[in-house]
Amino acid sequence: MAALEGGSGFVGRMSALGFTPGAEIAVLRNPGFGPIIVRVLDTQIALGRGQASKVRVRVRG
Amino acid sequence: MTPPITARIALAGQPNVGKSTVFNILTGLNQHVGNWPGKTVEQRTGSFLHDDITFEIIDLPGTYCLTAASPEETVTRDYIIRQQPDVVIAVINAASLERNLYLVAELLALPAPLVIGLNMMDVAKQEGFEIEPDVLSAAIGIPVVPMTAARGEGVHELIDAAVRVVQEGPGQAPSRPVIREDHRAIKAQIEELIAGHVPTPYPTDWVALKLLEGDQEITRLIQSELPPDLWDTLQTILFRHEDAIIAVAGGRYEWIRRMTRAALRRPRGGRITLTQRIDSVATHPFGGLVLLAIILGLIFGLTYAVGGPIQEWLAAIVVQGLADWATQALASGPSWLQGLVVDGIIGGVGTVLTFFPILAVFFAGMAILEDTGYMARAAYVMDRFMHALGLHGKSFIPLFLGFGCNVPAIMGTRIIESRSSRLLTIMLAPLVPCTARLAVLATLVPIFFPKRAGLVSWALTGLPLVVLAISGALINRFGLRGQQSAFIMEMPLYHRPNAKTILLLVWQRIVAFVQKAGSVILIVSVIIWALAVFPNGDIDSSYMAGIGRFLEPIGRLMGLGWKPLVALLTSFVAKENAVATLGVLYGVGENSSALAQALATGLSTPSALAFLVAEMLFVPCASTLAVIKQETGSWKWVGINVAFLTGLTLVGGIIAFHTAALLV
Repeated sequence: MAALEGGSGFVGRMSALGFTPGAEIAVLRNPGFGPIIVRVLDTQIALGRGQASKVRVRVRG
Repeated sequence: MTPPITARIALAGQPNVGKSTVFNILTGLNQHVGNWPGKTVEQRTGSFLHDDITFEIIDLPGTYCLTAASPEETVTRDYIIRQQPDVVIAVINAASLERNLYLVAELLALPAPLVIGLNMMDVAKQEGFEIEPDVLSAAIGIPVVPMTAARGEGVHELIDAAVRVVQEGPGQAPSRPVIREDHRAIKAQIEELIAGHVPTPYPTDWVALKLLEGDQEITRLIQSELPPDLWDTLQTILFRHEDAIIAVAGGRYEWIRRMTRAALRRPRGGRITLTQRIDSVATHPFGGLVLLAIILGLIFGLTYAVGGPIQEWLAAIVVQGLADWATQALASGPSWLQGLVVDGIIGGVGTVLTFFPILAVFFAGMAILEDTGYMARAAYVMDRFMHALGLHGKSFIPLFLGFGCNVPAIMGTRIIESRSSRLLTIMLAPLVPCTARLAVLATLVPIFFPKRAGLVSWALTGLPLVVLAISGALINRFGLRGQQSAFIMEMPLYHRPNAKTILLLVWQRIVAFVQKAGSVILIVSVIIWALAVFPNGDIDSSYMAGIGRFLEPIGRLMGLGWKPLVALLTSFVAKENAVATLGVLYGVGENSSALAQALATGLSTPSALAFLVAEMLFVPCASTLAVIKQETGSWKWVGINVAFLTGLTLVGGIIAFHTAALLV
C-alpha cells in the first residue's frame, strides 16, 4: 500500500485496521460492482468501492 | 454480609474478539444492561466473586482504536481516563494478533494497568498461527494469558492475573509505542507548549498524540484551556503537520512488529482454511445470495414450526384461560370492570405474552448468525443492494425479519454500528409488512376482490416495499447526502458460537422488551379499550366513534367513512384488530361470511382499495412504536415515524381511491 486519501477520521479508522503505508493488501473478491473484500494484516475487510478508491497502492508482481 | 467491593475491572477489545463471551462467563445473570449516560451506546456492567473478592466489571464497547470518531470510542477512553478502573483487561484475538495489538498500543498510553487476554487460541491454531504468550508478555512487560473463552478455557487464569496486577499496585513499566522518528521533535514541541494547560486527569503525553492525530474532541478541549497566543502557535504547528496521523499510526505498527517478532510465527501460504472454504460460497456474488436465502428460510421455518404453536398455545390456554377466569370472578361486578380487566388489561398482557416465542426464535437466530461470524457475510452480499437505499448491508437482516414481526426487526438493528444508518433502518422498518398485516390482507382481499384476490394481494404486499425503497433512496439523496454510506467492515473468521452468550442475549432482549415496551403496550391497550367502550358501552356511540366522525372529512379524501377509520385506529393495539372492529361496526360480529356480505355492500371498490392501502402503510402497532422509543431513546423519533407514515397513508390512500374510481 502506498497512501491513504481522505480526512483524519477515515485515515485513523483505516490505520487501525492495518491500512498503513507499506502494508501488503490482497484483493480476495471484486465482483465488479458492490463492495470488495481485501486481506490486510491477516484480516479480511470488506470495503465499499468509495472507500477502496481512496487507498493508493503499488501493484506487486 | 457480602464482602466489600475491592476492584473495578474494565474489559476492552476490538470487535469480534469474544469479549462478550468473557463477560458472560464471568458474570452470568449478575449483569445489568443499560446505556452510557447521555449516549445510545449499550453499557453492560456486572459483578462476580473470585477467591472471596467481589469484582465490579464493566464491558467497554468494542472499538478498533481510541479516536473520538464514534461514540463507542469516546465512551471507552473517557471511562478509562476519568473513572480510572483498577485494571483494564484487553481481550485480543490471537488469529489477528498484530491488528489487535493496535488497540493495546493505544491503551498503553492511558493511565491504567493492563492485562492481555489472548483469546481464540483455538481459531489461531486452526488458521496455522504459532504464538508464544510468555514471549509476548516478556516483550511488552505486562501479563498475557492465553484463552479459548468459547470453551471457558483460560478465563479463571485471566482473572488471577488481573488480581495480581491489582494487588501489586502501580508499577507496571511496559514497553510503550512511540511516534515515528521523523515526528518526535514536533511532539516534544507540542508537549512543551501545552504543559500546565492540560486539565487533570488527562496525561499530557497522550493529549499531544491526540492533537497530532487531529482528534476533534481533544483539540476543542485544549482550545478552551490554552491562552489565545499559544493556541495560535499550536494551530500553526498542527496545520503544518496535518499528516502526522500516519506517523502516529506508523509508530504503533513499528512497536507491534517489535513486540511480535519473537512471539508470532505466521502460517506458510498455500493452505486452505475453514474460513476460506465457507467463504468461497458465502461471499460469492451469486452463491452468497442463495446461501442467505436458505439460512433466512430456515429461521422463518423454525419460527413457524416452533414459535407458531407455542404462540397459539399461549393465546388459547394462558390468555384465554386468564380471560375466562377473570370473567367468572368479576361476573357479579359492574360490566365496565369486567371489560377493563378482560379486554383492556388481559388483552394487553396477552399481546405482550404472545410475542415471546417469535422474539425468542428471531433473537436466537440473529445471535447465532452474529456469533459465528456469518452476519458480516450476509451484510457483504446485500450491501450492493442496500447501498442504493442509503442503508447499510447490515440493515438487511433486521428488515427481513420484519416480515415476521416489526418488533424484533427494530431491536435487531443494534447490529448496525453507524447511528444514522441504524436510525434510517428503524424509520423504514415499519414498511415491511408483518404477519399481522398480511393476515388482514388475507382476510379482506378475497372479500373485496373475489376475482383478482391473488393479484391484488401481491400488489398490496409489494406496495409498502416499493415505498420503502423509494423513501430510502430519497432520504439518502436529499436528507443525509450520503453521509452514512462508508462501508468498512471486518469479516471475522468463522468460529463456534457460545451457547451461554446466545441464551443470555435472548433473555436480555426479552426482558428489555417486557420492561420498556410491555408497559406502553398495556397502557395503550387499556386506553383504546376505554375509548371504544365509554361513555355508553357500545362502540357505535363511543369516544372512538366520535374521533372517527371528527376525522371523517380527512377520510373522505380517501373515500373512507368513520367506520373504516375507527378500524384503522383500533389496529393500533394489534394490526389484526382491524378485521374484528369492522365486524363489530357493521354489526355482524366475528361471522366471516356475514362480514363479507356487509363489507361488500358497505364499501365501494375504490374505498375498499384505499382502506387496504392505508392498512398496509399506516402507523405500526403500539408494540413497534414502543420499541422504536426504546431503541432510539427518544419520543422524537417515534413522532417523526408516526408523522412520516401518516403522511404516506394519506397520500397512498388518496391516490388509490381516485385512481380506482377512474378505472372502475
